[in-house]
Amino acid sequence: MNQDQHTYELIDLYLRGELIGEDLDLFKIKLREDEGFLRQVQLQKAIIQHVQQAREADLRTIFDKKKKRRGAIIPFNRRVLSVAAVILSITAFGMILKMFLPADLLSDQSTTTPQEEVLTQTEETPTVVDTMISNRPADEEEVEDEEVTVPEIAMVEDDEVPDQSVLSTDADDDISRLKEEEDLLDGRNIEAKKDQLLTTRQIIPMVYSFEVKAPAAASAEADVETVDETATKATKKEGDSKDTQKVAQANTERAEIANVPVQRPGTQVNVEYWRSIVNFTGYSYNGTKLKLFQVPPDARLKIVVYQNKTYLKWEGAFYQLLQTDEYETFVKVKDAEVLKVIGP
Amino acid sequence: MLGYRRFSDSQLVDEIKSGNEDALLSMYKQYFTMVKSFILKNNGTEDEIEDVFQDSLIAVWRNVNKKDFTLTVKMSTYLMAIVKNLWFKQLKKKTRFTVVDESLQEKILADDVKTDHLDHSLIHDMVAELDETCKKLLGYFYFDGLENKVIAEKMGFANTDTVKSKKYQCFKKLETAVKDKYSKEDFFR
Repeated sequence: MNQDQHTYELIDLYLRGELIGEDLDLFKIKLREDEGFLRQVQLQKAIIQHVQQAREADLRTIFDKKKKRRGAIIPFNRRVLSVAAVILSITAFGMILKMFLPADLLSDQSTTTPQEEVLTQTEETPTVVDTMISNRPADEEEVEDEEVTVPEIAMVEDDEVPDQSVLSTDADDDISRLKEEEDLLDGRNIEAKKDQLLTTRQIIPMVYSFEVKAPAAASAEADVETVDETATKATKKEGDSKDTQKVAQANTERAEIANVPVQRPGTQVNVEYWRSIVNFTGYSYNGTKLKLFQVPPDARLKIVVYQNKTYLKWEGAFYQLLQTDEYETFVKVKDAEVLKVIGP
Repeated sequence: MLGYRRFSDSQLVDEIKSGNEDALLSMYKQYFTMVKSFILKNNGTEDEIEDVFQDSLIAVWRNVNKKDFTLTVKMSTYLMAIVKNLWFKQLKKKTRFTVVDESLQEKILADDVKTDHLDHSLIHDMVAELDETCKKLLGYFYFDGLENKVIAEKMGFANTDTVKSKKYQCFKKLETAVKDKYSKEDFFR
């Protein structure tokens, strides 16, 4: 193991809190005294953070795949159930028609029994009726079979055509409605009408601000040359009699520092890239999730926050992201003051 | 119908420790309804279920891979404890209208080393451009917390020493790419 690898392993142990005892003490001393080493540690920490984020995003894509599968399966199940329901409904409807409808029709016309009706309606064909009557067997079940055939004849010969047409229209409507529902539940139809999620990605916004650090806090930071250090040096050189001058100088330098924006990473934003079925170009943003429409997944994006407003940098231009529940179109930022800070 | 294997609790722990992502999918399928029911009963919406559930499963994944992890309750109980914790935290945030960084890594890596001044979006891009083998290897180690022995088995390396040196090579590759792409002045703002 070379020296570089040894240092890398050492930093790794420290960052994971596994460096202990004398090694930890020595490490901390080096961290305080060696600025180059401090920067190395900072960079290693930042890289590890982003490796972790990348892996987390990778794991989340597994869930996204699962989610898509679940989304695809539910309509399929529904479709199967719907088809089964349609078949059952049609069968049941047919049986009901067959069993109850003739009785209803007959009750509308007269109170005679089916057999009596056969006798009255078949006056023109007495031989047939006579044959039927004369051949009537003693067995009850066979009698019932004969009775079933009678209403069918009655229906055909019934003069009340309007009633039949109403009934048949209802049935046709029912079937066509069920067919429409079946078509609607067809997975292909649904998919074709949906926006399509292309990919997801996590972006850490950069928060821009003008910060002046308090003397105590600033002096604790080893990597930043602070105003207070300058002020302290001035005090040593010029003595207590020049307090006023020292404070003024420090304030001037604070003001100079305040003109340079400070960047720090903000809260991670989950970015979803969508293909819009209606070719809508825009976004929807709720503070944690940003849905982009018609923005290519390989586009290089940056999100920045300045003065509590969020901006998206895409193809060299900045667009303000409004936090609403609506879908918004991209509006270019033209405020020169803002662009001066967050751009180019 | 989906063909996902259903694991017992002890199998889940073993499979997660060996880095088998199917275990996550199995848990996802097995506990989704339970989590959904809990979130909806506690002022949550359909949209929020997915995020909380995914965060919880990833937390389980990372916790199980810690060296001293032992499952002392049922996996469903353990998962629900995490779900409840995350969800009530989120509810608290919602009521206060503040956004809190949920990143887990800050809790793991040394807090006294500040990285705010670095250009994180640039590092993010460099990590994204890293080759798949290195990305996986570093991810298994730094995020999943898999042991070198497990990584060696998963990635077909000869032994743990190979994992160590390969990990170092990958890290150096990434570090060099970051440094090469951006000058020091630009990078350390």
